[in-house]
Amino acid sequence: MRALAAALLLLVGVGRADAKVHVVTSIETFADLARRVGGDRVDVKPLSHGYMDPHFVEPKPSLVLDLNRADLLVHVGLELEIGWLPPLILASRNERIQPGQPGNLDASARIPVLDVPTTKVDRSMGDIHAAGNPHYWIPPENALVIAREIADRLKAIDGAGTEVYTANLKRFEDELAHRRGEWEKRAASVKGVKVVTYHKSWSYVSKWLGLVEIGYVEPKPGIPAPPSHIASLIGFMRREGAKLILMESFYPRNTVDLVAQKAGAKTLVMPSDVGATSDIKDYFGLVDAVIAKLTTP
Amino acid sequence: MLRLSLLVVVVSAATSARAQVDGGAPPDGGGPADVSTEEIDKALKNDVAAQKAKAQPGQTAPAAPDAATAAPGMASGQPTSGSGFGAAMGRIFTSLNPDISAIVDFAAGWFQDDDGTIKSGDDPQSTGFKAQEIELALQAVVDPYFRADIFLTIPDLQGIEVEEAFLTTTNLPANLQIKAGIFRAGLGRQNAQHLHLQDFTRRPTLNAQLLGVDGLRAPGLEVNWLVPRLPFYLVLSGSAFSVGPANADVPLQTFGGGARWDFAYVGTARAFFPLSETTSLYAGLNYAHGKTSQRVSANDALPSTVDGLTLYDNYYDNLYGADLYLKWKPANQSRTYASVAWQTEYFLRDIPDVVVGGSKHRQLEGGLYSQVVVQAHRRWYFGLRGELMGIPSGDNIKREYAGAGSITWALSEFSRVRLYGELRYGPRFLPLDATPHPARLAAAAFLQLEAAIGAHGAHPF
Repeated sequence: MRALAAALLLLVGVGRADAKVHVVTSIETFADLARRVGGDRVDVKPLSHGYMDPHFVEPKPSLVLDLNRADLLVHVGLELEIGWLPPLILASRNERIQPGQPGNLDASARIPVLDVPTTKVDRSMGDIHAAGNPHYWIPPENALVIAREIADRLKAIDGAGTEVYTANLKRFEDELAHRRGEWEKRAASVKGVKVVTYHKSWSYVSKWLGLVEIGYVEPKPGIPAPPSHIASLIGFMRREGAKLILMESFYPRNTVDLVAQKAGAKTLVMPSDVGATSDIKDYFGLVDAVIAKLTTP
Repeated sequence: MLRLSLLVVVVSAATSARAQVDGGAPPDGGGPADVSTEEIDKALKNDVAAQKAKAQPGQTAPAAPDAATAAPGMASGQPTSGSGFGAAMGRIFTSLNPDISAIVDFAAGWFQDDDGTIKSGDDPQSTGFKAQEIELALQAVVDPYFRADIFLTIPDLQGIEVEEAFLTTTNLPANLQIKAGIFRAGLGRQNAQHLHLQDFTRRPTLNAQLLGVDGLRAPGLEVNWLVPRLPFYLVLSGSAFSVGPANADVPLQTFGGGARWDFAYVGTARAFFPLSETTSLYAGLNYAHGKTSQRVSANDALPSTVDGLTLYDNYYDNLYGADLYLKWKPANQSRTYASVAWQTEYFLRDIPDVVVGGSKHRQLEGGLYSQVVVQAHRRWYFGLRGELMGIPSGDNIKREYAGAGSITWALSEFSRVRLYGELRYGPRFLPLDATPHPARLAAAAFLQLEAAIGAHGAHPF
């Protein structure tokens, strides 16, 4: 018994050997932003990958181990991860990242959220996000908000690194401002272009670049389209002259290709997160790829 | 403010009416009514934006509503605002109220041998239309120290039961967590799961035959520990329960016998191994110790001892178990929606010192089930399950073979229809009947409808 107690104490008392701040993020884009802001002072691990549907990540107990060691958890919020993250946070037995603690950062907190329902919602409308559209991390102004939030939390958790975090954030802001100008110049040609998207996950990008979303392949979030909807969508796209359909790589393509073919439109398989394809390694690469997809004739 | 509310009501009515008429399909261009709705909508949003800017000087007003939202052909049919106000309201509501949800399970079907079939508490209880179970869940973080989960159920319209009501600690040091209240013991995989997590309409009879018709579910205390500094997930747990005695018309229960201070003790070890990104193995070893329970209030012509105790009541016993869950599911799940999950559990009960007819003997009884569930399509799941009870067999657990098949059509994340059929070969279950009965074949078939409303929480792995 005494030996067991001693072993327990040893396991507890040893603590972490390295002094790095452990950051865990729900998506890969946040992991890149955390690395940019945290630099060498942080060790970052994403729970999901860009090629996965962030709504439906398997809540594997192995993820509990990452959360157990985390000093900071950065998640999308707005109920995007409601199907998998909450039980993992509870199972992590990690006080630092419980809801309401400084180590639990809901990155949507300061985002101007789009598509917030203003009338009573119910699930006849599909698997809706009652708090608003959670697919907000691609536009630069939102990435900036998220990076600033991460910097604030890192400073609160690791005060000794305040100067580093401030400097890293400044570097990111400068590079972002520079890139943003380039991106907007490159994407000027798509302003006002009518598009259809698969899931309602491109609202923020559309707003940023001036795309006009005229319809959705998935009529209600998470509910597959009935044929009547597809038929009327095809007709509507023809009338409106919509020539682009945007979809994420993790959605099934069959219906989309049919709609594209019938409506004389092109399907763009868009990356929505860092890691969506192996060549998208960071946030800048992600936005580059999004713009490239949209502007390639 | 009143005018604003009125406007909101008018706009809501207008937009929701449009959504209903459209049925989610794009309208054929905007009529005059659409235009005016949008104008009002825009004006409202500008009002809200102005209010917000006033309330927070120094901060820029939220951007104007996006073109997409205002555009015709808003195929989701979901009225939305630009930002801020609605989200803020939503957050206030969600932060103050517990998450409330209700799950209903209806079943219609038939048991060939209605009375001679062993049933779990949340199985369809007999032939006919059945309100199998109605569950109401209230879940919330209590304070920085606890989280509370309350599940009230009405099985078969037979009065309200507290299926579970427990607190879980959120801030204990050293990777410890305590669970206190009434809850399902984490003994094996089945036992901790509610009805709506079942892959089949009926549970296998393993738990009903060994742990009680509702499984091992009682007031108790559990301490569990996530073992740190290991390369894999391992949780050890120890718990104690005050289990109520079992009636005479159900199988001998491994726990619940003896006096009030005769607790049932449970120890488990659960480990998780991600074999690859797509394949995972979750395994558990289980042990429990308690006193057998099965008693009658009116001690008539039953094979029984004194004081309403049955022949096997009130003996110390041990329960050993192992469970395995192997799942294959591609990481890029939304493209193919294919997955395969294999689950199996074995329990062995050892009652070392049973005295029957004046002589002492040891009774070892056990059983297992094994099931495979294949997701073949986004909405379709196919399940096969085999049960082998009575390995070894004894006075209380007879040799029985059972097979079941299931087809599940999940219409959405929140509702599903399931067709279930089973075939059993073994003796009828007759409580406290020691005479041997010949094995017989008994079939059952059910159609089940399940729906969840409200804040439906995440399912554990």
